[in-house]
Amino acid sequence: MKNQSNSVPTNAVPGLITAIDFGPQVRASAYALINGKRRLLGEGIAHYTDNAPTFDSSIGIDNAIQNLKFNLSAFMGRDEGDITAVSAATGSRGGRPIPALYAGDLSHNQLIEFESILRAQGFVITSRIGSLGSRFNTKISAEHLSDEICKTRPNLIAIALTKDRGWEDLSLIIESLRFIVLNQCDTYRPVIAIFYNGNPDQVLLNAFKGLLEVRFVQLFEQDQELGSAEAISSLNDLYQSVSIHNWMREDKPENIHGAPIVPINVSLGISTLNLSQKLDLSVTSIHSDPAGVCIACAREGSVNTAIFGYFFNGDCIESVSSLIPIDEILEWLPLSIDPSDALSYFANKSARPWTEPESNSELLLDHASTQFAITKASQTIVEEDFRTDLIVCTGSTFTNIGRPLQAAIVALNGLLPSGFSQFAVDRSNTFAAIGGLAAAGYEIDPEDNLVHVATSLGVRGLDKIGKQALAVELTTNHGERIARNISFGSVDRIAWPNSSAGKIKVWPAGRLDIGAGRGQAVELKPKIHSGSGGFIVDARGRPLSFPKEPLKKKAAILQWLQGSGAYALGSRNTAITRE
Amino acid sequence: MHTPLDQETPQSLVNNNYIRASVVTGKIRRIHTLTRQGRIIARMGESVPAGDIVGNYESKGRVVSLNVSSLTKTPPSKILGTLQIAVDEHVGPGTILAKGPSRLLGNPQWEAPFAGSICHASSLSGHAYFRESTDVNKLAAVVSGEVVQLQEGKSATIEGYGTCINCPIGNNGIAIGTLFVVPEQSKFDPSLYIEETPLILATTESVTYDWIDSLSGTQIAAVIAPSMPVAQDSTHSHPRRFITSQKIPIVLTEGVGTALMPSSLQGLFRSHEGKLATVVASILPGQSEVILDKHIVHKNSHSSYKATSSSLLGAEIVPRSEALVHSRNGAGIYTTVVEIGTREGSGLWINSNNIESMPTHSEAT
Repeated sequence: MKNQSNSVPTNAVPGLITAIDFGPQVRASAYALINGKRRLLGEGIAHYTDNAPTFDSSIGIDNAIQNLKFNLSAFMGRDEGDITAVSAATGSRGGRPIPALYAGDLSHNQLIEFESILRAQGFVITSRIGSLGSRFNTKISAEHLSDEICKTRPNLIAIALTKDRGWEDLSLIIESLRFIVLNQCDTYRPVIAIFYNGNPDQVLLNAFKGLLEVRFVQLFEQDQELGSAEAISSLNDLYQSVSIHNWMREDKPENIHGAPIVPINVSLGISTLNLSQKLDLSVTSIHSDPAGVCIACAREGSVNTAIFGYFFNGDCIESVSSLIPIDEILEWLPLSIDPSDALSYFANKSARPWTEPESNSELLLDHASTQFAITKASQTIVEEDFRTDLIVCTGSTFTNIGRPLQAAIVALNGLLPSGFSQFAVDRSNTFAAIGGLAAAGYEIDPEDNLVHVATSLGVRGLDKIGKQALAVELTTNHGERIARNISFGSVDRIAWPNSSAGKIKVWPAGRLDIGAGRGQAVELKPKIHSGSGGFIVDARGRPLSFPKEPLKKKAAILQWLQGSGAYALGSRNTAITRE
Repeated sequence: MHTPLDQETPQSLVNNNYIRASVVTGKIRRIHTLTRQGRIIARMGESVPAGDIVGNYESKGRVVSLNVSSLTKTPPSKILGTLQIAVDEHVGPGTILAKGPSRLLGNPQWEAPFAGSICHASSLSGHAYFRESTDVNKLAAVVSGEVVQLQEGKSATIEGYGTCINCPIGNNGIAIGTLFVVPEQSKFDPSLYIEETPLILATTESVTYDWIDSLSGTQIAAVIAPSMPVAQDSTHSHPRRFITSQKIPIVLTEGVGTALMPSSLQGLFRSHEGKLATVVASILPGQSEVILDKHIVHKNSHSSYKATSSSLLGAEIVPRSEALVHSRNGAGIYTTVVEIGTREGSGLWINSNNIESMPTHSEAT
């Protein structure tokens, strides 16, 4: 029998808000004020329905909301009215980054700032064409220009002009689009945004409008600062309309009509920044699902985001694995898997991204491709000696995972951080949705739904494989002392009861650096909790070097995965014993 | 350990949101969009049979451009007066389109490289664009019904009724024809079919590239197959294409591999044999489908289920219980699973996300 005190009428739940995460599935999450703090109440999950056989996104969204209501009924009572309207929508499908092409006359520094402005509104510059105004018209032919555009087919063509020159070049771009590109590329319909400065010639503007659907946006504020409010607002409008066109085909569904669609990189960035500022730590979050990987790195009040996957040449992709050479994925597996079996698995995953791996080998295939995608995404924002205090793993790849430790290992292998890092998993898969709600003006603590999994130590420097690299000593609150000697090139894990915190001391070999300089011992001041993963000691060195012989390489990967204890790798299943 | 999700879990698997439906029946609404510049000829409210033309658009043609302003040494605003032919005037290959001022080493000029016309001469950039003459492509209705929405020069939305089957993978475009089920491909001789109406073949077994190739040049308009082996050249293409370019549209109801077609789906196709069907085969995931025109599955039909991943791909499965439970699967993932029975009588747990529902019995109306 239900407790009467739990049966709260819907409209009586204080501060109830709902978010939609439109990813490989549609997830509706509800939050309410509980003891003065907004917390996750529950979630509802449904399949998306914007593709065959229904081609109607509103059905999937409605199903997720119905499922949420069903799941909340124990708390809220069955006969209550609707939950509140959706306040924000995000996710890797609905809030997918949109590829853009840049042409213009911005200086190097202005272009960096311009890219940042575009990224903050969900657009990612994937291609650039020559600088306008500097004899562009004579250097670049319409055919060359068209070939360049056809190769990448960006959804947005962003043309930024800071000077009065360049308008004739602009005409060439738009004519090439209309008379050559649209003739060659089926179904390609880009949006063109022209960012200008000063007073453009109205006759020219009217002429452009006759050629294609073009938006004109004032780029500079009066004080000559790049990124006027008008530009940002216009970019946001553009993002909303392109997203709706891509996923909802016609009008925005009634059930999310009032909710802004927040790009996944923006929502992840906001949550990461908020968490970083709250904890006063450098935080890196990884959102991974079959379609792509988005990474946000926040430190000292600023955040950078990067993506890999989601689209290729303007077409949306459903499996990031289709962008990674299959040989590279298979090399990272300690199992012998036939390439055609792996290709079939990824083909079917691409066709049905919501399906889950059914066997250990499928799980390893998924994790290997995710790891590569993380590495590719991080290349633009992660420095060579990458250090971060906390790594948050979110998205369906990490939340639908066998053991949370596997998420930490995939993130560790993908990012290869040096020094000490903590790993946390977002088991409710709401980290991005919370960022989306924050963008819509609703503050929710992004730390609430995170679960601490493990702490890692990455060693920087190189040494001889097998030579002693580290001596590690862990003393728990209960006085238990665990000491290990770790060889260079290996991975090891120390686990202890979660009820007790542990104090860590590490002595590296002379060539190796764990944060205090080469050969310098480190005693970690805060005590660390084991979590479900314990303390992962990664003595593979940085940069990571593989043995050249294939058999030794497989053996090394097997040791890394076995040493981490994340996977059930029986010796009968491994390639090493077979060979 | 398997734990029940909730005692109040709906008793029908298909009625809750955990199981995806691969077949829908009833009202179908499809947007028909012109892929290039063209004209919508359907009218609002008009009743259109499947296969009827709702619009037409220009075929792909080569386009060449030249900076006429630079060639003729005239400002862009005056290039129209320097062209030797009018805009949109059709000319043959070799026709002089524009001439430059005389020089010692000859007269620079721009000749038509193929038959076509100047489609645009810009007074802004000074460029002119010469486009090859091409045929007109026709945009056919994929479903019989009424035109309910029009966007001039862009799209027509048609609403009708029928049964739509989701196909996870496809390639090569749209085809409309009479449905014909082929249980054994090796015994099917396409040359024996000489009717005027194109055939859409539905095979119940996995097909090979060679067999598909053998159909080109016949009256076969499209193939519906449960599966196909992965394309050999897909290893090196990025992004990978899992069905390489065949000449006729093909859709896979199950996926890549050697899966057979579930018997319920075979029954669905058999119930529509000899009638009009449409195959929409798109390389983009989730966009391919088969529409059985004016075909309705009765609402009181039972649902059956098929596995959509791993070694069970395409297998028709029978849940032992309508309840979903939380459990770890073979990969160790804690998820919602369904217990299914095997022929040997033993039980097996399968992820609810790896199952799709479809109607068991169907009758055309």
